[in-house]
Amino acid sequence: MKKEGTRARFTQVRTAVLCGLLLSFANDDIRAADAAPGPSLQGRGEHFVLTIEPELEPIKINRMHRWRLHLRRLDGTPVNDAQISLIGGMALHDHGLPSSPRIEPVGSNGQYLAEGVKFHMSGQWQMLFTVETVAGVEILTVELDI
Amino acid sequence: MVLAIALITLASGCDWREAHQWDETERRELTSLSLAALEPLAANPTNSVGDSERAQILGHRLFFEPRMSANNAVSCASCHQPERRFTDGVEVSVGLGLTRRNAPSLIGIAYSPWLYWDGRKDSLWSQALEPLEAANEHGSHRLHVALLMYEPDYQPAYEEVFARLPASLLGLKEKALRAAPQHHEDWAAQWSALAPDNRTLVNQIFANVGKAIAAYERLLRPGVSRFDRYVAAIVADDSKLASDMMSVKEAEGLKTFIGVGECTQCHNGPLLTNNSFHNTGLLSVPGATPDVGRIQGLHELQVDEFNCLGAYVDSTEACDELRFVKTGRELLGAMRTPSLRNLQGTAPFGHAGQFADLAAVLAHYNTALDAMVGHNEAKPLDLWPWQLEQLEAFLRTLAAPPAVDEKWLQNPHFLTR
Ligand code: HEC
Ligand code: HEC
Repeated sequence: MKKEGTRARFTQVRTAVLCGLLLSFANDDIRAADAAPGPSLQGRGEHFVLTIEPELEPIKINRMHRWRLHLRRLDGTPVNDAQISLIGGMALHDHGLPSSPRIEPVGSNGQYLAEGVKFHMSGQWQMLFTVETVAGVEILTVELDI
Repeated sequence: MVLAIALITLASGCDWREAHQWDETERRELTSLSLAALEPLAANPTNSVGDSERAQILGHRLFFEPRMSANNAVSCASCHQPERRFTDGVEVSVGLGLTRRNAPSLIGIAYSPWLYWDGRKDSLWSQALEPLEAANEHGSHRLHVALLMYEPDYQPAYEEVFARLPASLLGLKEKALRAAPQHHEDWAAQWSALAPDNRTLVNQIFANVGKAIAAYERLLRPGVSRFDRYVAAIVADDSKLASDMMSVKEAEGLKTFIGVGECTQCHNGPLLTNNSFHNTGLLSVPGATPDVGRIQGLHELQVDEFNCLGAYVDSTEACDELRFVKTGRELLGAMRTPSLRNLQGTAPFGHAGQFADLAAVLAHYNTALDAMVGHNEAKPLDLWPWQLEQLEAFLRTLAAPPAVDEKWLQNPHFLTR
């Protein structure tokens, strides 16, 4: 097993566009996203950047906790009207998360709260955030090493 | 000759160093499995008397109380015997009838968010209510249990922990009713015939009985094992002590456990369980249909009037496990991962006692055949026979007497009656 201890690390971000719906976002400013804060986890797509701040730091296995999320366009504008859902799993083992987290918006600054997050094994986890807005849908993948 | 001996000594010396040598990542993993990493048991807000000493004493008496059963002969301790680490030594338990599952140990169980192999209960106190009314366990009914609290030997102890017993139920005592909502058609009819207020009062006393038993069960904590002492020695770089605590064979087994055996995918943390549900492809007992496990347990959990979001909790502030419970087909045939700290004297193993001993459990993991229902998450290990022996030897180092004062392991009624 290739484990790096229990500290969750941001390793890799991949994106995929789910729907054929073409999202048109003017003036995507890549640099704005690149300048995003360091210590937190981030998922970046062609249109959105999702920043994750776990309330349990470092993330421990077998402990249910919450994540504070921040959703922005690439140019940095907060996105408030999105529906975000989360599924997670481990590619090496055919099972998903041990719980069913739910994500609700909080406030008006692109902030969301993910409740019921839990991991029951250490290793590589793939977290898939489906972000739905009126303009279209994008899936952001965040890989976590727990 | 001297050279030969020197060589052998050197060789075994190397062997010794090899087995007890752990890199940084492994040391961290060992530490995470050690009892020293166990956090203090958090209060359970649904049970406000969970850590009250009076509730513990009352719960201790109730745990050993045969008068709660229909034949005055079955108590919790019939199937959860302290001298067998709170198990009963048979494949599937027998109360008033035959149950369909193996009785798990209760040591350390207070740390689990889910109770039963299929997790159909989400608190110790709500779990304790089910056997009392199950026809094949205590075979009793909640009105009987509630009225028992009015007996002179219980009333003062009950009222010290909870509120005064309501006088309005006293009238029911003479009527010799049998009243419980489930299991029995005529008992259910008598239950429905009770005034709604009385039904609520009975439920409250019934739930309180569960809460006192839970307070007792919370005392049943695992003790420090040879494995834990070994980890402490490794962390302290005391190789002499480490080699006293574990043999080379056991340490090799531990390497397999956290390494190629991948056991810590599910048996992780200081209690060697992630308390989650997994399908490990256990065969059904001959003649029985395969156990669907968690998928049914989840259904029962969600309709349980005594669950964390029900009316009988002292607070619903800590119900996230239930609110965000996992659903879906993955749960078919899945069972809760058991702790591995209670393997000594608790055979047979598996949810229906399918395995007579540890060797049989390991042989099962080694081949990991397809599951009869759902999907076996464990992959075939293809270990050598000696690796399986080492693994088994390691599992035995996890054994320890529970860290519980001896008085809690005795039947309290022997002293009073
Ligand atoms: C007839 C034997 C029998 C009696 C009596 C009995 N139990 Fe059990 N107990 C079992 C069996 C069998 C299981 C596992 C059943 C299942 O998972 O479906 C179990 C499961 C449990 C569990 C869950 C353990 C785990 O690992 O999930 C607890 C806690 C427990 N019993 C406590 C009690 C208490 C408290 C009483 C008395 C009110 C009691 N039991 C009475 C046989 C019994
Ligand atoms: C995919 C998760 C998973 C993995 C990996 C796993 N186990 Fe288990 N283990 C379980 C579950 C779930 C059960 C209960 C199965 C049942 O009874 O249906 C169990 C049961 C057991 C039991 C019986 C305990 C008892 O009280 O009945 C032992 C011993 C055991 N496992 C040891 C191991 C060892 C050693 C390994 C590594 C070779 C291992 N397990 C790997 C999930 C797992």
